[in-house]
Amino acid sequence: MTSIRLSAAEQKYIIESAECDFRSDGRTCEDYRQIEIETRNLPNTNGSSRCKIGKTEVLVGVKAEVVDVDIHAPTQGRLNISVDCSATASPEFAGRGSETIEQEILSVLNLLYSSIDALNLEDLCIVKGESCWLLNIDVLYIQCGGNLFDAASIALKAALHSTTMPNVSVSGEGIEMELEISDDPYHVWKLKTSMCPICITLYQIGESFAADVSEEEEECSTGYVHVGVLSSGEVSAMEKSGAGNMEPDALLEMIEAAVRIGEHIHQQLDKNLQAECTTATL
Amino acid sequence: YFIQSNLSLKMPDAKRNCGPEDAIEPPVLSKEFSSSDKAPQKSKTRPDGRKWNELRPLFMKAGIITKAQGSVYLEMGNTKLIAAVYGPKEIVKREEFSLKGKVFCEFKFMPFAKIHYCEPRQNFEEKIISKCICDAMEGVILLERFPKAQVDISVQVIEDDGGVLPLALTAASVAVGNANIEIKDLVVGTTLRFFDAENLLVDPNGEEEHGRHSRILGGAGFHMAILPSLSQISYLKQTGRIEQSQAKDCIETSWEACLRLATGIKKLMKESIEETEEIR
Repeated sequence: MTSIRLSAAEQKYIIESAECDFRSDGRTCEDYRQIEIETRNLPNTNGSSRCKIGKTEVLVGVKAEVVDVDIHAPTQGRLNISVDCSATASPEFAGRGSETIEQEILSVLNLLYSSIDALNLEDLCIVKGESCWLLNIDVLYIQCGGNLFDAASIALKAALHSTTMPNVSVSGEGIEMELEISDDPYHVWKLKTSMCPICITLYQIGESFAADVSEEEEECSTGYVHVGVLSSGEVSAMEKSGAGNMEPDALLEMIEAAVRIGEHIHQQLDKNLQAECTTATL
Repeated sequence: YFIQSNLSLKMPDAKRNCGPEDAIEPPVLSKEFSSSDKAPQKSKTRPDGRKWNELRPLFMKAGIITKAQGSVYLEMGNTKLIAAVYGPKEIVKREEFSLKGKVFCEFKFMPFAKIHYCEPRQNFEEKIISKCICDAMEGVILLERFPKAQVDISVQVIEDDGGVLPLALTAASVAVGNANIEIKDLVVGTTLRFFDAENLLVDPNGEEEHGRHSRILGGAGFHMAILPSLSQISYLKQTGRIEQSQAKDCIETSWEACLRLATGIKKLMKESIEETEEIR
């Protein structure tokens, strides 16, 4: 991420205030900045969303295409997630500078969506053993202001919720099989996103931890945990990264906090996405 | 399995004679033999004769690559890896002045390590694992002892039969220790396959970790690496759904297995140091 140079006094201030549960912008350690979500903002996609958390702004677009099934999983569709941190987000992302952070975000998103029940991939199958839907999911960062992982996962869930898949009618068999994809904009079906996880990233700062950290706080942290939380409160994936070791008790506390925060965000997100759906159909 | 990543699409390899693009490897078409489709239970012995919490036999030989400052060959059951450490040496890229040394790591599966062919170029998964090893090593190596210098760690997997990632972390830390680089503690890791509180498998082999049996039964895979003397967690990864309370069971069981592995590794390291002393 952008290299922020902090003086020793600033670092000490951030670490000690995190330990007192009072951060430099007045939030407690578990508070998120205001999350703004907008869906269906990109016209040429099956589903899209924009998520803004503080200064971090991310766009997600979902485009579906019909492909041959993967030989390892003949009854399932596929997801193809790609992450792009553009040079507009930060000057150090120009050229190949963004490769490491893109790979890390991609690895976390893949980890979250790698279980078969995150998004029911069987629904994406058109003809077993022959054709399926491939969802090309593209995550684009317009601006980076800390907490890139959570913003991407929230935007991804919102985009998948807003995705409308065209109906396909199959005629003929074997070599003469033909797929007719309907272009009626009202003859569509929606993906089930109730099992989509959200990533909550908690950074260890000093003796305590914080969620939704800014870039300055990230510089002072020693290690972080990504916890994938489902709306039911289960943990769907977890990964500890970063150079820094954690006490097991601290880690368990972080998992507990992540589940609390995750459930709350899921609740609010689902409520708002439902409200948006109903206004759209009216 | 089900996710195709942009960064891992097969690039045409200009240096080798590749087969046609739509070629299929025979193992994909063969029917996988699986001994049972029921969840493993603590009371039953596993197909290879182990109990639920028994680790596979470990073989370790340090200092096998004489040119490297530190190296180790590690075998756990059929999983074989080799780690080499070159350094501390002068930093190659002199862009930034840093009071701390830098650690670079490269992790690679040999093309013949898995059942299916692995590309000779480092793919996306290997790059992520390289970063994990790098982060874990940065957390234990006393980098302040060698400013303006770098340490290169290379871990190669010769055969993958389950539990590779934590074992790679273990091998890297033993190799760094063998290179006489000062570290806070060894990093020792094990894998756990979790179904529920009554059905756990410590140190699964390839079939138990990735086989058809495990895909059908679901459950969670849990990789953990700890610092045994300092009692801290260096690396953790969990894939698959678990309840929050089950996370505690996983950590505790893994912890206990890591401590057992750590005693074995320390004993073997001590023997290898005594051997080198004798030779001198």
